[in-house]
Amino acid sequence: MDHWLRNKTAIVGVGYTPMVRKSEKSLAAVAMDAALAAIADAGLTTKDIDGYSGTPKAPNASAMHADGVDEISERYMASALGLTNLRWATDVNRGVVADGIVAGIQSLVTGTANYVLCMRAMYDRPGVRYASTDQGVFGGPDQYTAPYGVGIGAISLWLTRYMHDYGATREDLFEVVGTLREHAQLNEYAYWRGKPLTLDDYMSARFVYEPMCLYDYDIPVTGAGAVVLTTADRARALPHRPAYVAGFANTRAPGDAIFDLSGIGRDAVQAAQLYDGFSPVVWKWLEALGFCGEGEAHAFARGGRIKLGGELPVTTFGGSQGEGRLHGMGHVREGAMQVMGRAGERQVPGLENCLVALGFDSVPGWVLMLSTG
Amino acid sequence: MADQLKQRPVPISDAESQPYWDAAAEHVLKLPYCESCKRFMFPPRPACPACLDSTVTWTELSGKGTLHSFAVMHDSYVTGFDPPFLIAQIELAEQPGLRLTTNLVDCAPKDAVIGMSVSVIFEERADGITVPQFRPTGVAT
Repeated sequence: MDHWLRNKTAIVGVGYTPMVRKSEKSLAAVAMDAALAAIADAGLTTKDIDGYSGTPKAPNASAMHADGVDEISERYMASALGLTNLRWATDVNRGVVADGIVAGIQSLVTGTANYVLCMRAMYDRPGVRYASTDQGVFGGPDQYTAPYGVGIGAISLWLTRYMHDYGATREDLFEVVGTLREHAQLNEYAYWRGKPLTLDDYMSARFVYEPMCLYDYDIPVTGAGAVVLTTADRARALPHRPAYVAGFANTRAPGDAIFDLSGIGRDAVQAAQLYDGFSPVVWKWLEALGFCGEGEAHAFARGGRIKLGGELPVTTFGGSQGEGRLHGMGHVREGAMQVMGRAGERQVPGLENCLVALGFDSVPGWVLMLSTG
Repeated sequence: MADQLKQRPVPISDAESQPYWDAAAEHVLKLPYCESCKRFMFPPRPACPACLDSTVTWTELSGKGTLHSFAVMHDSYVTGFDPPFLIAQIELAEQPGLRLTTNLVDCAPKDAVIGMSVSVIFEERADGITVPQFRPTGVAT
């Protein structure tokens, strides 16, 4: 295997805002806060930024899709931040940030840009129920589901079958949810910081899409996150230890691709930031990445194995469930912070390699391997 | 009840799905069938995904199947439903893995069991649009 892409690029700065439900600030204002924080964290200025990739899509049923209001485009950000030296910019439109990060890496390795700002900002519009709609007609794939009242979280159908076939229980699922909430207690940005969740809380929570309850869903928030990527040679001149990109693989690729492409084996992964938009997604990722066999994830995750201090710490910042839903930007930030050695109380001791898995089956994504190089 | 049904969302058909919804309006479940691969497909596509032959035949199914999986919707994302109600994946009798997502009706959530036999019925919505749903086979209406 030719590892020509290995450690050619790195994440060198991160910026984040606190996650809140409804904000008095506009989406544009929080996006600018995150972007400027990431640029400053990288030891750069807006004049250095010559590449931009955004992930503007507001996927919720009540979205207005209004630039600067509940979505934010590269045009808006370039104008608002005065990014006059951009020579490459794009918006990608699948929601989860994976495509945007990978596009940024690709622009760097092809020499299209030298310092790329990657953005995700989400807005929970005041006065509006996030996921509901009074729309009466549905086309495309929704024509086969919406007329039946199918809402967010069709993975609950997968979950019912999984529980039936493999004997998994809601107590098993709490191993995931409870772990994420515990990790969120150590994360200054997390919506649920200071609010622990017990098994009793979980078991008595209202069902949304039974067997999934309220706490099996990530939480819609207003907030923004950004990272700055650059080439390895430039990264070494910047303030922080770079979080090198050792490899990336699309979820269309076979399960071993990320380990083959990065040259970093499964056993050398010391933490995994697994996407958790719905709690069963964590089980799916554990199996898809081969950390356990099919039908084994619920048992694998028992007994603290995926907690900080366990054999494979998973989603060490609390994830979209514990922190708030930025569609994977938190996972990228945490992966970078762990590799940079800046994760504070959450730091996995001696960590050299951290896997970041973004998206899930209905939102195709990518797996990134970040490394100290 | 009739008023509530009128508030439920309806599909917008397209070139691929038109025969599906036209058949449903006649209370018939039809899907495109590839004569060379001897396979049904869902959702409808312009050609058979296996052989890319576009001469598919819209073929009536028995309307029989089994409950592959289900979940109980306790929330309202769209209008016209009174939670809780059942969302189901039905595996159609004609072909392993051929599944529709739909409602399981005339069945209390606690009575839904994976593998149970189900049969198609059709629910009238607004504007003459009819959508296939399923109910346990042999249960009196």
